[in-house]
Amino acid sequence: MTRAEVSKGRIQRFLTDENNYTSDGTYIDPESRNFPQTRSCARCRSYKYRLYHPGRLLYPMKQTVKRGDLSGFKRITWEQALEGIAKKHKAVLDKYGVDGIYSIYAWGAATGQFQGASGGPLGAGGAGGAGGAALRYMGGAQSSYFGSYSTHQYRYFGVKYTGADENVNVNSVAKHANNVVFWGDNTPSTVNPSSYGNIRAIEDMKKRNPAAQAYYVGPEFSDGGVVMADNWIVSKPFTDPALIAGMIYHMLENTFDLTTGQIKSEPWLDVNYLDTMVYGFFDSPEYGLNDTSGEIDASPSHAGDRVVPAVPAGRSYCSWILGNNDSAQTYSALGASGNYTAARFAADADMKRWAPCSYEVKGVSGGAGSDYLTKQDYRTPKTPEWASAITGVPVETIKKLAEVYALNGPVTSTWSGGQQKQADGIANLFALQSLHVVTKNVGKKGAGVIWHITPSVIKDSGALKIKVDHPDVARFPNMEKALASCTAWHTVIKMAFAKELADNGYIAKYIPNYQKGTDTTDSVYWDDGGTKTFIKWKRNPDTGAIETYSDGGDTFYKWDGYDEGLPPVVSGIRLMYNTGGNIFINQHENSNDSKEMLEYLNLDDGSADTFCLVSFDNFMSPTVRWSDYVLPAATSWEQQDIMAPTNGTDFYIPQVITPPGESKPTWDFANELLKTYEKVDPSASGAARDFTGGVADKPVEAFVRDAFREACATPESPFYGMKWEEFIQKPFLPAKADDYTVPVPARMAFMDNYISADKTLPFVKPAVEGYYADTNEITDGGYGNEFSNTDGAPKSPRRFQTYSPVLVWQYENKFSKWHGYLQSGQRGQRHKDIEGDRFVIEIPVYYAYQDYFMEAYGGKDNLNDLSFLLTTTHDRYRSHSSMAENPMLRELTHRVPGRDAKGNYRQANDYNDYSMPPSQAFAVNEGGVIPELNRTIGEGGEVTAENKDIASYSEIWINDTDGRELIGLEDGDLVQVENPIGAVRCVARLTKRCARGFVGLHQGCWYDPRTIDGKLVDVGGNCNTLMASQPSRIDHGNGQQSAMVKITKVNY
Amino acid sequence: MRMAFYFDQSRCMGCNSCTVACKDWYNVNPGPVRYRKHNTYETDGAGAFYSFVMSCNHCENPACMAACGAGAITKRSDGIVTVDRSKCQDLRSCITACPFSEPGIADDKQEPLSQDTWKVSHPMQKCNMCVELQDKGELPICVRACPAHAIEVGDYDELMRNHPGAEALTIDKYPYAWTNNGDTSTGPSLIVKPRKSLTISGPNK
Repeated sequence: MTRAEVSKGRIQRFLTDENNYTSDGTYIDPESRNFPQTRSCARCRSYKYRLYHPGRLLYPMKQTVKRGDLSGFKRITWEQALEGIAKKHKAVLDKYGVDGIYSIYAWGAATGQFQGASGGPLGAGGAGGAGGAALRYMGGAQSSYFGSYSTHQYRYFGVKYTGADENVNVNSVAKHANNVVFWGDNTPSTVNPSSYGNIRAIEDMKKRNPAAQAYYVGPEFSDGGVVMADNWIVSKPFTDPALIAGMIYHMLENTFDLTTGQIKSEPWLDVNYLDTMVYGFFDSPEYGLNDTSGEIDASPSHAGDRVVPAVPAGRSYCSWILGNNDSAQTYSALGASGNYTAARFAADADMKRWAPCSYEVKGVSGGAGSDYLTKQDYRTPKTPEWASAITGVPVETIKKLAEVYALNGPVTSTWSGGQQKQADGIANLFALQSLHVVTKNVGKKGAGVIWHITPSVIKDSGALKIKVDHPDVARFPNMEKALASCTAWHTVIKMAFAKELADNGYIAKYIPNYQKGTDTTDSVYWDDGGTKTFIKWKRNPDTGAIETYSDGGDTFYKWDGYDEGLPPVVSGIRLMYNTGGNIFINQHENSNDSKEMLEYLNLDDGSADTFCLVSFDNFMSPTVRWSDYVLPAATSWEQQDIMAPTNGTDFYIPQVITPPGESKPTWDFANELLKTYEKVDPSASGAARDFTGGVADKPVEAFVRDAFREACATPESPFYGMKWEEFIQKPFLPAKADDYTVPVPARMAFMDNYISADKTLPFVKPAVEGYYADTNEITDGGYGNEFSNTDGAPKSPRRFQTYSPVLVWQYENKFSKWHGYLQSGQRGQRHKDIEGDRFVIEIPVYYAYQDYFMEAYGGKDNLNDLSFLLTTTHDRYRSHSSMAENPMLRELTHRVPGRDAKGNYRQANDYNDYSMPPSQAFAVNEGGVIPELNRTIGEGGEVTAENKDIASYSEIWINDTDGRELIGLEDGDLVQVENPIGAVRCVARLTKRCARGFVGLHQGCWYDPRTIDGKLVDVGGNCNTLMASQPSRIDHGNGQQSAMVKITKVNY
Repeated sequence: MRMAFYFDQSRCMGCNSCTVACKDWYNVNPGPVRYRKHNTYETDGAGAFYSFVMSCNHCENPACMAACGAGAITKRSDGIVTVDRSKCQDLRSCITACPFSEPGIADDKQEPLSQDTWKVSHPMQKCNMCVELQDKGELPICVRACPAHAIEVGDYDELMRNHPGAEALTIDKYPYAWTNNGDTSTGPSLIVKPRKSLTISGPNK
């Protein structure tokens, strides 16, 4: 939490939360690991330099020449802007329906309920005070998408495919864990409010158990590693599933004699547990499970209610790990130890627990000759030696880490946003969860696998209940909308404007075709992820619901024209609202392609058939620069809003200072846009009034006063009896530290005694909540679970899973309900690689990273000179790409090439050059100027003498030895980093905090292209200039942590 | 009384909240002067990375004070070393003398406005342990800012007693603190709780 010190209408400085009292008034131990003081980090502390930055946008502008051309901006009035946007909105609605309008994922003021981007009035809707409401009043045009740019893979996969537990917080670690493994975790940089709790959790764990250790696994030793780790296991990026496979192989060779298949005397793995509680670690027959009695039956008659699919010979996780091993004993030979499941299998359908890996290679089980390394390795034993060659981790370390998980639990693991945001991020999550499942690091206090270790606090329940009633909203129902990944908009625009782009000479990376089915030879993976749902749908005029039709037992959505026998019309995305976001150019993969696409799309002419990007923001960020409309936005301190801090209740922040120029709060922008829209569309009459709660122009604070009036009259409320003036001085209720212990699901009673207990109990006990391993079940679910027919869907085994037929079925059939316009057999998602084999299989294999890059970069020959693997973690001095303009923080991340006379860094001080005075601004037609950001680097990449001490570049982290010996660099040299997707320039920071062969370019620098030797080179150092467009496997998300690059020194 | 800083290296995550909060509080614009400086040090072959942040160490025998020909630097009875910017004559001897690179001189960009009492356009400035706050009974800004609770101020001996495992700043254990010269005679008033060693397995060398 941040406090501003204001005098003379200006914020002079910032202070932090220094509260020492909980919400009920008791004193807090300042050294508690849950201490709820939320102390600001450097970003808030330097916010002054953002607020008073001379680069702030001050008035609306419209692009008149070509997107991206600064001289083409014409200054317009707010009235002109609002009228143009409202008319455009109406035109698109009339011709293409609500699906043609989209509010892009944006995070400008994310936690603000009234002013935020994604959840604000012009966002995607959902919870909160105002979410999506304004667009909903404009014909029901609020956006819908699934996933998130931060955690797309996690949101898709969750923990329900494996049943692994997430029961982790600072207390569970401090009190119960014996080891913690950070898989690339960067929490102290990324999630500041969790940082102290993380540090203290580890500190207290080691105080309790001096043998306890913290491990950090990953290629870049983050600040979290520096402060918390006892061990750094230096590994190559993208290879965690290989490391985990090598570890489990070592556990298997300490469990079984891999020559005879016999169990060893002191096995590392509990085979009875694996048989009973884990589906698909071993091969197993199809069986029926009686949902009432819990009995299982593997005989051909399957007496059970629930048919659980077989894990065919050679298909289990164990079979893949052992590769070609054929020494397994049958269930009958080894299953006589009172193990109910093994006994049933042995009696009904005996088989071996593992067999040589039998997944197809070029259509043949156990085949050969693939270009994909993943498939070449199917039958290779995944020994620690194999894993070491792939990951770079020494064999002994792999064995040691295996021992930690198998013998020295409870183990807590954290994955990181970066680990999952990779081309095969879902496989990373699947493998890590499987490791926990296999080693029984589930269902125990101190064991679990989670994103990051969070504080354990109780928020006061008596907070204000602030709400906006939206009268008459029934006129504008919450419509089902085209549903695609939040990262798929790029493809949808290309789909809508395919002909225009081709006619205008866009050098297509790939222009998709909505008519391509899943199985046509030239369809590609890009087409999926929901992009083919952007059709003009046939809707019920009263409810907005999309009408359906049935065909052969399948249910499909009707498109507009279905009843008339007409083909569907692609709505695509025609009008895009971007409120406080920089996704389009900067934060989406492949910035060059986004730029080119926007330049080749015709400028907005107000009609439904030109694309239009409306940006409402604080600065001329790259996305704003390439927009049609540029609208100036207020920041948090310049508007009224409700914020939701981690360590306290939601609270009201009043407006502190006046917004500069003509910039507006989102609330006002939305209100005024609605008023304008009412003139364009008389049927929307009253929309603006209804948007502000039925009272015209009602400000945000009035809603807070309403809620406060109720609270101060309620005896149970902490605000009881308070006056508004008192409340406004102390609006924040800090949370209380929570000493609670981790809840343990009821099923976990069987983690240790399942073998002696009733053998039916591990499977069914409906009366006890949380009894089953909580794994996915496919149902005919509602909106968002978009299957035309779920009859053939596999059933959940109601156990932990390391093998998931549900994952594969869901992947193949997703969106099929929207695909009625395609031929039978062409619906759902493409599931073939270029050799005709399945793209997604049931187990957490290691998908060799070269396989993704081979496809993403146009062939395996294109990887030959790309010696380095690159990922892009959060930088603690930016919030994604916000603050990239803040000079107080830029000086911490940017450097002038070279070193000074004493050999020190030449820290960049481009303050005056980055924050230009008006004399160095570009003129806007019709008057006014906008300071153009960083112009110290010339159009051809040259730096003139007067700028040579200030022109600065982002740092890129390169391993010290690699830099010196392989590239010939000294620390501070200027480098060009490139691949078939793009090129950036950075200053090399040579460090031992990187693995050999790895480079780290922190995300969020602003894309700033120059043409150098005929090639686009981004001197801003934006990581996404290097990221391929190909989506991540399975979830069609952003594999934005994945690049292969070459690095060369640049003379400076 | 010997006022000193306590720094818990085992908690410092290198976030620069203290250094930025300090600049914000004292209106030190972006530029070369930074009262507190953070770095994560890598020593050749050593199995660890050391997060380290330091401002003025308010030494027992301040080399800067001894070197200053203008009498601009003084040590208070509680040990806090302050500079009177009005007396500074830009001789820069303090900059040469301080082993820890603490005294700073701004440039025109960082400090566009001069004060009437100054004799030179950019007199030396440095950390004064927030004396004006401490004299009012408040804690220094860096202490209040640290999200990791890794900084304290107080009497040297008392801090040492309160933090078992903490140790004096010495050049053999913390060579990277001596960024300017190797003068070990100043008696820095900084106590450090060290980060424990790190085992590295894998290819980073």
